[in-house]
Amino acid sequence: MSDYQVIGKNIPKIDAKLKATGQAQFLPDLKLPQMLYGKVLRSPIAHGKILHVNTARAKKLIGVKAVITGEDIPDIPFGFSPATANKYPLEKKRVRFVGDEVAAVAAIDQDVAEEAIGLINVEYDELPAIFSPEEAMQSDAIQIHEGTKQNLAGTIHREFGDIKEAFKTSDYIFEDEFETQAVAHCCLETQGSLASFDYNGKLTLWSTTQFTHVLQDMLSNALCMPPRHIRVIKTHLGGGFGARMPMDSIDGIAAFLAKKTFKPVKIMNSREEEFGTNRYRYPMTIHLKTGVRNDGTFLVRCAKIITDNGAYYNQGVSVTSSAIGKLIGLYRVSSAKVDGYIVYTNKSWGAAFRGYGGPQAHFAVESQIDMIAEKIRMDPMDIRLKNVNQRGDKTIHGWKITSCGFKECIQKATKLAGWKKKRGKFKNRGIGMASVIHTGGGSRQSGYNFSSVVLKLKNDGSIDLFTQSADLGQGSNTILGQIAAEVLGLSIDDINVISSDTDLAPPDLGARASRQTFTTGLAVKFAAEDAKKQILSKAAKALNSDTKVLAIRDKKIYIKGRPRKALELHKIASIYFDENPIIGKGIYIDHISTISDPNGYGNFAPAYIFGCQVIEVEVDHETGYVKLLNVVAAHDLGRTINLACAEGQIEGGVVQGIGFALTEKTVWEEGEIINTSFLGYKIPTALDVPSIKTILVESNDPNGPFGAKGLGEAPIVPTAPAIANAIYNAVGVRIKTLPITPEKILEELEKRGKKDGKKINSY
Amino acid sequence: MKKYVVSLTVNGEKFEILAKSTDTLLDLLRSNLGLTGTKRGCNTGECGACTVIMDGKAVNSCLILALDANGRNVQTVEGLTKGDKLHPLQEAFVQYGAIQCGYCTPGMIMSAKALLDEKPDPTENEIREAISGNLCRCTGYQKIVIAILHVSREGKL
Repeated sequence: MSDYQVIGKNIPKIDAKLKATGQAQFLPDLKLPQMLYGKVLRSPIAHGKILHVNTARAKKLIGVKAVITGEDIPDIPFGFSPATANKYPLEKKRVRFVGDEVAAVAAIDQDVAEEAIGLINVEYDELPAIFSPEEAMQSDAIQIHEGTKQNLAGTIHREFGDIKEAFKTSDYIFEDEFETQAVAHCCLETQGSLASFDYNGKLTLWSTTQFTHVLQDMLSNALCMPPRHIRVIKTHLGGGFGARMPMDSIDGIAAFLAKKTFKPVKIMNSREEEFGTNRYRYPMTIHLKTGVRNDGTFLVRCAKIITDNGAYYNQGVSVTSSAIGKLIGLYRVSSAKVDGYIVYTNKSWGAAFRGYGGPQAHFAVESQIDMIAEKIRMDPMDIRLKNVNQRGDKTIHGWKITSCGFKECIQKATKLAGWKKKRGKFKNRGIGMASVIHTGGGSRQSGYNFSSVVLKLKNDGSIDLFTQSADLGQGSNTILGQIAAEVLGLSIDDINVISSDTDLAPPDLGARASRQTFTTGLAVKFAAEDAKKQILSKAAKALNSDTKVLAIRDKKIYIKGRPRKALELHKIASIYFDENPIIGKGIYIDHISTISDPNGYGNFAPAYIFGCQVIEVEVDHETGYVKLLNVVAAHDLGRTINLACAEGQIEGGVVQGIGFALTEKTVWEEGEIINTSFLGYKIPTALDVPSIKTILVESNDPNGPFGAKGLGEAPIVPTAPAIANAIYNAVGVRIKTLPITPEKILEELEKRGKKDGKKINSY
Repeated sequence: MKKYVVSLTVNGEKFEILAKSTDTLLDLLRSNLGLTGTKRGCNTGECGACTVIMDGKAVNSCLILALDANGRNVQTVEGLTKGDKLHPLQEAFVQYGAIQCGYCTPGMIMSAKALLDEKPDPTENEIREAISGNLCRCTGYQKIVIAILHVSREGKL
């Protein structure tokens, strides 16, 4: 495939110069004439009825232009889907977590806005608050949402194959409980929104969103305004990772304040607010029961998952459903049963976070696989290789694996890491591995999976490409540009990508589920092919030839095999050639994945991605400190479109995974998050991470653009279990709760009297 | 609130600016001078996104009171380019894929510049040490370290 001119090349990202020079404008950098500054009053209590909000003093403060409460907004909640939505941008009658939005002000500057917030007086009737899902599930527990029995936001039950028979025929049955914690996205840019109305009644909202199109729809609903009156623009975005999908309360609040004042209003979360109202990764307790044959064949996997949903309905059910899908789909198993309980608590509400249930499910499954391997005396690598998913497989829950580099990922990663040489050979040093299965092109879980783009040729033969996919820094605009350039024989410099503006670009579902390379990539490919057809048709006339024999390359069109007699592209592209502009349209509708049936059976995604990470650690058995020595990460991405972007996704994902594994945890005290700074919430620094070797496995997906699939989410998934397995290999302690802190390691070491650092596993 | 005159040099140019006693150097750069390349990530000196070079040292501009910047010489990311030509560090960050969302990038580059100004040929560990106060949530730091190493080894400074 070396024939590609642009695909697979190491092309600098098209926005990199703007970002390197500070020229790229992020939301905090935007300032409009007469702009006001908004600030939100948040609940100091975890649960209570709002009796009275007195805004009189705040309204009198000089410089305050508007004060609004829940009374001032329509009785329409927002959320992941209108049917289940139960969160108001400003709460009307009840608050359900510390930080819940109660009132807001717009003022001439930030200082006045903050002072005004302090002048609002709210009377609450405090209610008992519940912070643990287990407690919330008790039948006599107070209902956080009236009428919600046992505080269940949802339950999921899945069963495939004959469970009883599978356990009967199993030689060994393993049962363990794993716990994952609430972690924060920690985008370096905090959440923000800037709203402005014009006298035609049109709202323009600049937001830190990952989904312009979906946010437009959600705002339309929340504000009771038609979509044509709402323009959503995403600026350069300082990180997303799922936190920015799709709407935040402050999007609505900024719009209500702007409507009331008829001036632009900007609200930016402070870092303390960002941490304090943390839309965390849903914590899960996973009770996992697995039956295996003594030759290492996985026969049956059962689980009970309890998800801490937090106070409002967002994506807790969807993320748990996705976790269940991966828990069943990872490696071949012949039967499975999973029950999921998604439970409201009086904590801030969870959100999507890179991996979407994958990191939680994989931590359980991949940790337990090492326990299984030890028991039946198999090398952890061999047991995984024995059970890998393969191309052509259809899983028991209906996933169709159309391309699969899983086996190759395991083989290449273990080889490069020196698995056989290093495993169990050095005192206090260990090497561990874990794998991942994930969607590589979105899914139909929420009903839809499509992309559409438009591109137009300019007089010089270059193109403008219009898309509502969202570049969060992962480089999607560059990747889409490369796909268009490849089809049209252009270079990346010829592509101008106009993205994430609802007024300019056709609809796209945005940055979620590792989908943009696949779905938007296909839409771009179709649009470019559409334009190419038009170009060749004009050229055929000019060259007195047939389109079938024409080729386009390096901005020239020529009869194949006769490149010297070429027609310059800009001549054809020019509007003055025949007054007939070339506009390409591309729509991709995912007809491969399906909406699952009520039992959860269906083809979850149009493509699946795989990966394997091998991580080497050294554990100090005096302090319990885990030092990471080496990481090898092999990931199947179908086809590499942009080398640095692909490597960057893997390196960044691994480092987020390291934080998830070892240091990151949101800490609540009586419902209040107490670690609201980077000092209290520790993400990895440059000193905390080792060198990461990446291996890109190209399985060439039959449906992806040039064989490509997604990649972005998968790299965070296997890191934590690989580290847990490496720690076990180093010092023989198995930690089943994240993060794996030195305290936990020391406690286990002491408990088992293994302070001499002896290993019990020498495979 | 009363305002005071702050005289300082920013990117080689002298300014006299009226500032409140509660303003920080970061406020002054962003709001008064429109130098929005310097980013605000936490406002408490923990993330490094607001790093500038003041009198030769990399500092968190959110921790420097504007009045304390009086008489100082400050360099921001905007001061690195010459006309349309990028600084070698900026060029290397672009070429080596060291930029993802880009929010930490200006601060990261300023920390790297302060290091290379003082120590033109640092080890990898010295580089990691120098940027350890600059948090990045996207890249995993690897390509950033490679970009800085590249500039140091090319001796382009």
